[in-house]
Amino acid sequence: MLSDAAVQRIQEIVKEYPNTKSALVPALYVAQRDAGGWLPREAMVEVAEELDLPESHVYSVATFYSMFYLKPIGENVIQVCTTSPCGLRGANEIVDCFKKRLGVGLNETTADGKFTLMEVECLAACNVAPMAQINEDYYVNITEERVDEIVTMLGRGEKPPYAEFAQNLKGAHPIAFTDAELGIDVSGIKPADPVVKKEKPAEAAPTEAK
Amino acid sequence: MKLVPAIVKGMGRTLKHAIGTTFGDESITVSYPEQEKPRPRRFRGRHILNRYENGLEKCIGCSLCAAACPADAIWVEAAENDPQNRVSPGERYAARYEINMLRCIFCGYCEEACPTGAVQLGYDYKLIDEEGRQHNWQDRDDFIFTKEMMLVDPGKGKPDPLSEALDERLKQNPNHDRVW
Amino acid sequence: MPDLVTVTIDEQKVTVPKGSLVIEAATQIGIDVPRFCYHPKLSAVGMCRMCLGEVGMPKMNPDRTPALNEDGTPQIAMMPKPQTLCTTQAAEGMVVLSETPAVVKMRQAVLEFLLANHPLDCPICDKGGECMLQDQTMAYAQGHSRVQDLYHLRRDLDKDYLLSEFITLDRERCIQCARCTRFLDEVAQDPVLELVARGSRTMIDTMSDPPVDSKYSGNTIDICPVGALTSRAFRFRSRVWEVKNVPTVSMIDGSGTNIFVSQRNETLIRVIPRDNEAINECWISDRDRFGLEYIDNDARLTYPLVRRDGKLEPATWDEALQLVTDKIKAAKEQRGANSIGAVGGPKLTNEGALSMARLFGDVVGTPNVDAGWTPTITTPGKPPATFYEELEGADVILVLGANPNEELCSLDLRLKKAAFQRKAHLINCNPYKTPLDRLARQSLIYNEGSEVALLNGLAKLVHQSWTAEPAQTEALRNNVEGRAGATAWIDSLGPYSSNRAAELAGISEPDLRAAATAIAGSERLFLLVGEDVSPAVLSTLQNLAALKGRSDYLVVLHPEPNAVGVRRAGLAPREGGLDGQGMLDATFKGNLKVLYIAANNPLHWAADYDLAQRALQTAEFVVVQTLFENELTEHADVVLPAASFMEQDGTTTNFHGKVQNLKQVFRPRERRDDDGNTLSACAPDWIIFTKLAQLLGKDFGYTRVGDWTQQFKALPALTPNEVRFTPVTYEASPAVAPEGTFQLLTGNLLYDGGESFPYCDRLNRVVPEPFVYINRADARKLGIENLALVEVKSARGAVQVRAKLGREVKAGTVWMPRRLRAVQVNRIIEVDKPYTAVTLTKLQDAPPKETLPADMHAVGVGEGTPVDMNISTAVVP
Repeated sequence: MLSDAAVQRIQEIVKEYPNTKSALVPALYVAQRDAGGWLPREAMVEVAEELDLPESHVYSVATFYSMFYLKPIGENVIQVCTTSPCGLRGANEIVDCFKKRLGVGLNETTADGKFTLMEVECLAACNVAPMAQINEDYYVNITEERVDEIVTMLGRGEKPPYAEFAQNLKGAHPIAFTDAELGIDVSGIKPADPVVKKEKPAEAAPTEAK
Repeated sequence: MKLVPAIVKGMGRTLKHAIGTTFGDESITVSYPEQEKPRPRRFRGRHILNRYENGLEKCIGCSLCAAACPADAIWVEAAENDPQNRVSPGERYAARYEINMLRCIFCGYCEEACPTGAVQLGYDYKLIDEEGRQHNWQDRDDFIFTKEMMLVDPGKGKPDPLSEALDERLKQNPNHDRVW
Repeated sequence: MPDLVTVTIDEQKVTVPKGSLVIEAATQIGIDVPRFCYHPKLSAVGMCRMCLGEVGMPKMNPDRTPALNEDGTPQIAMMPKPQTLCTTQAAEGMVVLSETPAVVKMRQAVLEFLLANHPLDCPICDKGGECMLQDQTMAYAQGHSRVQDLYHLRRDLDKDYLLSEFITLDRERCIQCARCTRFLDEVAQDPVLELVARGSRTMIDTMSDPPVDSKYSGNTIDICPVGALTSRAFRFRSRVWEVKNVPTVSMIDGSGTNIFVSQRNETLIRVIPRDNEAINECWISDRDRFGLEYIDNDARLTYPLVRRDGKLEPATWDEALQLVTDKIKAAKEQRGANSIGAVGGPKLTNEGALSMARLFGDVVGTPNVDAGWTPTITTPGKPPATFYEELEGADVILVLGANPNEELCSLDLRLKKAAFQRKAHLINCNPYKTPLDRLARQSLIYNEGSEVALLNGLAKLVHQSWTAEPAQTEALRNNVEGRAGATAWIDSLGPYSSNRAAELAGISEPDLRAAATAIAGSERLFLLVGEDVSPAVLSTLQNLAALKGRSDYLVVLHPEPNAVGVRRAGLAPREGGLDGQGMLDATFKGNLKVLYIAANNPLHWAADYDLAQRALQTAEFVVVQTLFENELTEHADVVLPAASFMEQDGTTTNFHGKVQNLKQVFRPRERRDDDGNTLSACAPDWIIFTKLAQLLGKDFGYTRVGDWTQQFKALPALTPNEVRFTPVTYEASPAVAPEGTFQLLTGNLLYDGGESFPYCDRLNRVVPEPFVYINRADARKLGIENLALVEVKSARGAVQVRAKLGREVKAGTVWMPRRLRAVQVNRIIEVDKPYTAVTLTKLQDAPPKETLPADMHAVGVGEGTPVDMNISTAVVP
């Protein structure tokens, strides 16, 4: 299931940590990229094999973090924070707005496969509530009018000007960590088409090599 | 001296009935079995097992009646429901439910213990079956009443608030996969 | 003597070792602190918050003297917030209040939260009646909930989530105490259950294949403080207060596991562990828990069978026993007692074995008596009485030629405990990889047959390192000098230089050196050895034990239940008699006419299947004493229905020599007519043998099982073996399989689909398909992929099994379970050769892999409304 490049990358990541358990999150991240933006069971099993960890442990970690997706997702993932401060500043109305605009419920993907809407817990940007994480960028001080603009632009394949909003962050990190900042080099790994399931490559040789 | 009016009152009532039965058509005894006396609303007779309105059994085979029974007269064996072919709502039903009527002392503890209002002590005191036929007593085993002998049609049970509440609850649970 | 501290709990003083937890101290003085997540055998995590209590420490003055009240008592500074007593360590002068109004109120609040998602379906819950949540809700909860309508994220999930073949999970009942995950992590060392997702959606799930892949998974059912994990075998069978729990000992494996058998109306309801710190602590294996159902099965024999005109027909006990008597008498008169052979089995109780030995040894007078079909070694001398306690205290443990995970479950857990918690240096020596290797500090995968070279090499290194270190020479002198055979033994070690020994054994020399260093420096060395190794290996181990001066720390591991007891009772060849193997030979050659087989099956356990079958066909008269009709009874002339260990009182001996009482749970199984009158019943072995002796003219005068028990206990006591040395040399050249063939290794499997499995519904489902382990590199050369159907062929025969690739075996070897369902290795093994060479041929490709549904796990998708959590990892038909 995992491509050779991904397996190789995981093996490199493992070397950077004192034990394989510590390498689990970045390894899963690579696997998610490789498997088409989400983590199928086979990918988790392979990561477990690569890191010599119990499969259940990998599963436990993958389910804990909201940025690991265990179901196929759309091109754009909209994660709206609805924890108390955002909630007080009207996050639930923003969620409703997104729902209406996209025509989907929570944890659902639009029929065209473009958007997945989710609700998440605190993303540590309470000073600019209400806010949402869209793909890997923070969109802050979202108003109901902005929702329409964001969705329209994303739908056209453009990136809404998140930096403009982010100026309000005042010292806080404007965006989520990029892959580079995390030290995860996924340049060699091309995100696969999220909808079409990849075929299993014939007897992956790297499994033998370890 | 206060007793005197009370005694007079009491004797008066006695006298009234004495005259009524002797000279009038008042009667205290009834000519059983042609006639029967009406039973009070909370009379404790032979057990019945209730059903929900849609015909599912209320009994879930929890054995709490057997645990409460001071005479050890109840035997319950439970089994798991098949969702396609339910006997009762929820996961569990009574595969066997037997009461030994020779042991039963009709105390009503089983009714108290029942969490679903399934078992009740009904109005029948003659230990007859549903159609009013006399049971065929020949053996001690014949006094062990089985589930089939005690089950009654929906709505035939004694009025009971718990039972009614559960009827309502079941309507909100179309899959019948839960009791409470 | 460890440091002691005194704490005051609810105005009672208690002194405990420093480092003890407050909850342990409280238990010691009978204060029952409510708890869910705390379990004395597991690490303390403080997850459930139920054991909160007020804790205070003595106040100190600025000059570090204790501050005193006016009356001279120490001033106590209470901590501002309550503490979890299960994680707080007791300290000198600590004051704990476990039942103040504030504490009670906190417990109320904790319960209110725990019950937010917990359904009140106690009437249908199998835990009801032994549920900690139920008890504590009765004790502490208030009658209403302020949160139930707000936070019911899990309450409406589908019920009865099938976690594995044994366990069902009701996710809405789970209170996330993590007892089950900690048990599997820490005690069983099989981390196959984990908490998944987070926040109020946290629940447990497994991803292993098969689901919850542990031999001990059933224990999670017992330690679950609520009804979240329940047994699928016990599901709705009975309420827990309705059953009668009879204490007895499981005769499934050699551990002598203590169990309670719950019975109701003469039916077996369930099996649960019985605490015994000296044997199984509070754990039992799944084999014990789900593998005893066979006793309560209608397929059991309840009447004797006698062969008439070639067909087995029901007979009365009198007829059957008279026939056996006549045949034995006739054979004895015509050909002498030597023409009669008797083989018992390790499933006999001590009393059964003793009565059998007396019957055949004394009354019939034949020397041909044995307890098995292949020669096995036995523990020389007497293991320590407190075996497990001392094992846990061992600093070095050497396990050779055994796989406790598949053979001796309670020992397996103890070894894991010793290695994991006590950090013992575990050296696991085996010709193939076993699960214990994960925990072993060193795993030496040696060439089959080179044990002697390996051990001699070790002994030489130990001896050398001691001579090199002057400080230890005195110990060496005490242990070696002047002992019988010492000089000859030291001389015999000459050729076993570390290089040569390592080469012969096929391990690396530094590994051998490291093991020797550990053994040389150890203070308490345990040597555990499997029963199938040769007597020469046992002698080398005895030498090693003698070198360390503790001969009683050498213990042979018998996987079978009463292997030690039956031998001690006298089921062993007398002077000039034949052993089991020899009896089969003699029967085949026509020298043995009458064969009496009790609680054993040569077709399963003889080294050579064909020989056993031919012997049974040639024998003139075969008596089989057994529980079920099977392959063996087809060859029998008389079949006597025996009672199982649950149907009789008696005693049994476990592998380290502990004799324990069996208690009768059921009446011996009966056959009845329609009116309920007993027509016939099976009988305990000792009754059958006593009766036969009577018919043969010798009345032992024993009418109760206790008489036999007394006789058994009066047998000469086992004594510690004397410390002596025997030179053992390794003659055979290392086994090199001819080109294109593989050396066949065999071993035991716990779930082998044996005789009792078809009658254990749950357990039978986890028996794997017959398989062979092949090294990945070998398989690649042959073009065999995982799970392909292969033919394993020896000079004698062939079997078809699935290939399992992995690193379990070295290149050039394959491993097969001795017996798995219908596939028996004794049909292809070559008995007269040192090892069996087999060839592998691929017959069929692996079955197409079932593609896993894409949205199998839907838990962690964002954190929104209650998502569909009908995860179906563990789809079990």
